[in-house]
Order: sequence, then structure tokens, then C-alpha cells
Amino acid sequence: MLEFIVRRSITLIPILWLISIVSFVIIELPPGDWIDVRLATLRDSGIELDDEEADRLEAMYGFDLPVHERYLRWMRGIVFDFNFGWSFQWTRPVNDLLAERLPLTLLISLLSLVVSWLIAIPIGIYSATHQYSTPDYVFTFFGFLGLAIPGFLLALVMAWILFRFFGFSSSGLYDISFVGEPMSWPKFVSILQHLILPLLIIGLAGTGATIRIMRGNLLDELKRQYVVTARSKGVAELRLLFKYPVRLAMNPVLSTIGWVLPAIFSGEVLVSLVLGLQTTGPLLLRAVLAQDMFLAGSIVLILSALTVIGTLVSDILLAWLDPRIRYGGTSR
Amino acid sequence: MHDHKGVARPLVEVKDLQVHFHLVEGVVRAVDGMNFEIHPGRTLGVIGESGSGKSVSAQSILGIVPSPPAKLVGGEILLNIEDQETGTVSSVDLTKLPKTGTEYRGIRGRDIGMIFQEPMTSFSPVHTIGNQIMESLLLHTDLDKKGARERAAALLGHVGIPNPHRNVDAYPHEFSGGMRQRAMIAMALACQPRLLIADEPTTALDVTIEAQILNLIQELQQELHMAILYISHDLAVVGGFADEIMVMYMGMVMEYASADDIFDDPKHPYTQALWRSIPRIDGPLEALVPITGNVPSPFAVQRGCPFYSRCPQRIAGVCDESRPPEVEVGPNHTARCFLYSEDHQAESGGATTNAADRNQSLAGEGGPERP
Repeated sequence: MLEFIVRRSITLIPILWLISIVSFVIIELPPGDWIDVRLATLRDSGIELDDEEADRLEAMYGFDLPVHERYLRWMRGIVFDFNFGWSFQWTRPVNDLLAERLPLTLLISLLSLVVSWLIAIPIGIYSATHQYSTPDYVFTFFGFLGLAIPGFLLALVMAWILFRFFGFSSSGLYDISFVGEPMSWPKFVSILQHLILPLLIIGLAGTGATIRIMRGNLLDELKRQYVVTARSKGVAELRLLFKYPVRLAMNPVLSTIGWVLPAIFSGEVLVSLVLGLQTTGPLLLRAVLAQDMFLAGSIVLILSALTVIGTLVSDILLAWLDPRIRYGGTSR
Repeated sequence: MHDHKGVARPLVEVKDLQVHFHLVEGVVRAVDGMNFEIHPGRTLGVIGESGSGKSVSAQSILGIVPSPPAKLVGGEILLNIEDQETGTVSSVDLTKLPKTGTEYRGIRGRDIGMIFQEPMTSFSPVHTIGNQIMESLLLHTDLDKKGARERAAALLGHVGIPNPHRNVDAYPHEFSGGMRQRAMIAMALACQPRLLIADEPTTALDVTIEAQILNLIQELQQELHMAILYISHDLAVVGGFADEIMVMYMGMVMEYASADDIFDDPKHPYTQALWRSIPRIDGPLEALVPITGNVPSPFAVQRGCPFYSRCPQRIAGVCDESRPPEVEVGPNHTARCFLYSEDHQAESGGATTNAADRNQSLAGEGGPERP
């Protein structure tokens, strides 16, 4: 098992390296750079800069260097000093901005995944064991509905309903009356109240798919011979269900972490914008618009790296659940 | 060994068992009025083609036929268990027990063990062999986890698995097919059941392994004095293995006799046709005769004998009109056929000559006779 983890971790290094290049290239792709945006803004406000001054600005920020040298400078800072660069737009180090936003992003993303599973897996199990029953059809209906409705729309509608009918402003991480106050029990409760809506909305995006996956897998597993074998030993039905088929049906659900995480990260951007949450999502959007390249590049890099690490975690979980994967061999 | 058992009650008595499958396409009478008994220490062989109801009848005893679509329509299955100390026999009708209730679950795995056809898929791939054997021990005995583990290892050693103490922690994919079937036997016999149901246990194995597994089952039967219900479509295997044999066709027992009688003196036209369709190693060299026609659609409602359309000795107006009775054709030998029915012989005298000379009429090109 340890060997498996080490082996998989080593393969991460080239992948992370490729991701860093791709992140950098993506940020470089749009025509122009932050200086152009800055000059345009200044020009709009009536300040005219001459070319000499523009060149001086470019040299100051290193924009006159060739692409690969700029990439190397950025990477050197990250690898050796853990310095992600400077945000032009905020005139602050990227590290500080990320430290403020990233924990909340991770918290919301991971909790959304947990919420999604807590809803989807029991429903999937129920639907499979009660196939073609009325609740199965109802869950299927709402599952597809959830699949079809975009998260930001649901967020808008829910925020409006909560405010219109319950007078509850779901905007922000906590009620405005707590701004600037130290952490206290009422503030904590307020945070929880404000987190529920985004968690549900972001989580529900993946719920429909997970229900279908869980239901389909479990239906397959329930027909397997080992279920009959266990029954012939006198194992009680509920115990049998969770010990054998559910455990096997969980494998593909776990392996979806890899592609559910990016979906959650991107879903989170829109929902956080709508609900006014201070996560990396809105930060990324503004950084991209302003061509604040180091900030945008760093966010893309970190979120991609987290996705890759999430995939690694799902692989490790799978290996722990299924000995056939652990030993690197397949069943005869 | 079993001569004194003649007076004792059979371990299992199946009476007029009827199991129907309600499918979208119609109703399949998978088991259609079966009667049989299983005696302690003896082996009852069941042979029949695919879909003849062999497995369904066996699974009915354990109450593990998937339901829906299966539905127990009628009949009873009595399990008579003799208390070793007091000698009293307690009798339960298994068909009356709730399928998922504690009482039935207490019987499964403890009083009745079952070996399945597919050793490859019969174990959960993500649990160790030992874990799955221990499961029945923990359910049905007072052993604790450690004790159950020891017993599981001992059982694996007993069925010929090398290094049992190491292999108790092995996963099924680390075992070969033969080893898995040995482990399956160890699992079925973990609690020393009184009845072992073996549903084509060697079909998926190659011939040398098959012989080993059969020997193993026979040795264990001697040792534990258990009854065996052995299901197979391989006549040679059942013939060499069973004490009594029943031949099934479309959910009915066509003929029941001792293994010797059914091979030497088959009475039912279906059994006879079956025997002619397989080579015999000890008899004269003869051309094999396949059974003509096809098995009727399982959805077809049979008013008369299900073998009617393929039977070389069918009696039109009789065999297709009503269900043939089970007739005693010799000591402990029954056949479900009008040819031996006295009622029928009395009412339509001429036709019965066919029965008397059946071997001659069968030897020729024959084909079904037309009235």
C-alpha cells in the first residue's frame, strides 16, 4: 500500500510541471498585458503617458523579457521562495490574497462534495433497492432536474426567495452586523446559516449525476453471484447490502472525485459571485478581466494542482477499498 | 451405512412444489408440481436441461429464489431436523417462513449449505476468503473472531488448500478456479450442515479438477454424514455420484429411481431418449440419436405432458389433454407418464401395446406415431 502511494505520488511531479506551463500559457494567450490595460484605464481618466514612460513601466515589471524567461522567473519564485508573484490590480503580494481566499474556497468545495454525497449515495442506494417504485421515479425526476438547472440560476432564485419571504439576506459569509467583530458563537451560527445555501447549491450540481451512477452500479452489483452466496449463508439483508454490493458500487463514485472537483471549483465561481462570497472564484474572474496575470495564473495553477491531488486521493481510496487495484493485477 | 435410515423421516420432503416466474413476456412455470425427498447421508442427483427447473427447485429450499419475479404458488418444503440428544424430530415448512426472517436465516448456512456453479464470481472480490468463511461461523456458532479465524483456516486446510494460515487472508483473485471451488466448499460446510446443495459445482472447472472436487465432496459426506442434493446436466457425473436420481423436464420430475435402475431400466420416454443421445462407455457401440424437436417455449401453457411434442411414443388425445400422473413403475421407481398409467390402459386398450414394445418401436426410424 505504501509503495502504491509513493509510486503514484512520483507521477504527480511531471503532471504538476505540465500544469504550470499550461497555466502560464493560458494567462499569456489574450492579446496585450496588464500594462496595456493600465494605460487604457489611465487614458480613459484623461492621463496621457508617453511611450518612454510606458516602456519604463514594462521594464519595471519585467514585461520586456521573452516569454520563457518570464515563466522561469515566476516558477523560480514559487519553487524556491514560495512566492506566487505580485498582483498589479491589488498592489499586494498574490500570497496574501490567496491566504485570505483559498481556505474558504477549499472549505466550500470539500463540504459541497460531502453534502453532495450525503444526499446522493443514500438516495442512489434507495433507488436501486426499490427500482421502479414511486420514490425511485420521484428521485430520478428531481435528479435530472438538478442536472439541468445551472447552479448560478438556482442561487439567484433561492437568494431571492429567502430574502423576499424570510427576510434573510444570504449574501456574504455572515450577517453584515458581524463585520469586524471577533469570532463569537452568534457569528459562528451566522456563518453556518450563510454557508448552507451555497453548499446545497454547489453540491446539488453533482448530486444528480452521483445518484445515477450509484443507482446504476448498485443495480449491477445486486445481481452478482456473491450476493446470492452471502444470502445462502444466512446474512441479514441490510448487513449484506452494505457489506457487499454497496461497497463495490462505491468504487466508481470515488473515482469521480477527479472530475467532480473541477466541476465544483468552476461551479463555485459563479455561485460565489452571485451570493457575494469572498472565495477565489470572484477573485479569479476579476484578475482575468484586468489581465492581472500573476494572480490569475496562480489561482489556475493552484486549483489545477488541487484537482490532480484530489485524483490522487481518490486513487488511494480506491486502492484501499479494492484489493485488486492495490496489487496492480486484475481478476482472472 | 444408510440401511437403518429407511424407517427414519427424510431430512427434506418436497410436496407438489410450484414456483412461477412472472415476467413481462408471460408466466414461466419454472417448477411445476415437484415431489421429492432427501434422506440423511444420501445423495439425490438432479439432471435436466438448462431451464428445466433444477436450480430453482434447489434455491427454493433455501428460500433464495429472486422474488419478484419468482412466486411460490403452492406446495410445501418440510425440513425435519432430529435433535441429536433427545431424538425428537422438529419439522418446519420452509415455504411458510418469512424469507428474510431470523428463523430462515438461521437455517441457511447452518442446516443447509450451498455450493454454486461459478467459483469465479461466488466470492466478493474485495473481501478476503477467510472473512467470507468466518461470516457464517460468526453468524451461526458461538465462536469469537479469533476462534472463527482459526476454524476458517482449519477448514481451508481440510479441503486441500495449501498454507491455510496464510491463505485465509488471501483475496479471491489470488486463487485459481479449483482453489476457489475448494474454498467455496469449505464455506458451505463451515457449520457442518445436514444438507449440502451443490448446484453444478464442477461445470466451470476442467476435468481433472472436477474429479478432485467430486472426491472431496464424497469424502466430506462420509465424514459429516450429510445429505447432498447434487444438480448437474452431466449424466456421467451424476450417475457415478448419486444414490437416487431424478430427471427433470420443464419444471417436472419425469422419472425418479435409484441410480442403477435409472441407467439400466429407464422407463420414461424422455429418460430413454436422453440415454440414447449420449455415448456409453460400457455398452455396445451405437449411433447416437438426438432428441428431435426443441424444448417448447417456457411461456407456453402445457395442458398435457410437456414432452408431448418431442415424444416418440405420444398418445394423441391422451398425453396432450391432461397432465400425466406419477406412476409407480417399480420399487422406489416412479415415472410421470401415461404409458404406465392403469387408468389409461384400461380405457384405451390398443395404445398400450406401444408401451410394452417400446424398445422395438424406438429402434426403428420411428418418429412420432400418428393415430
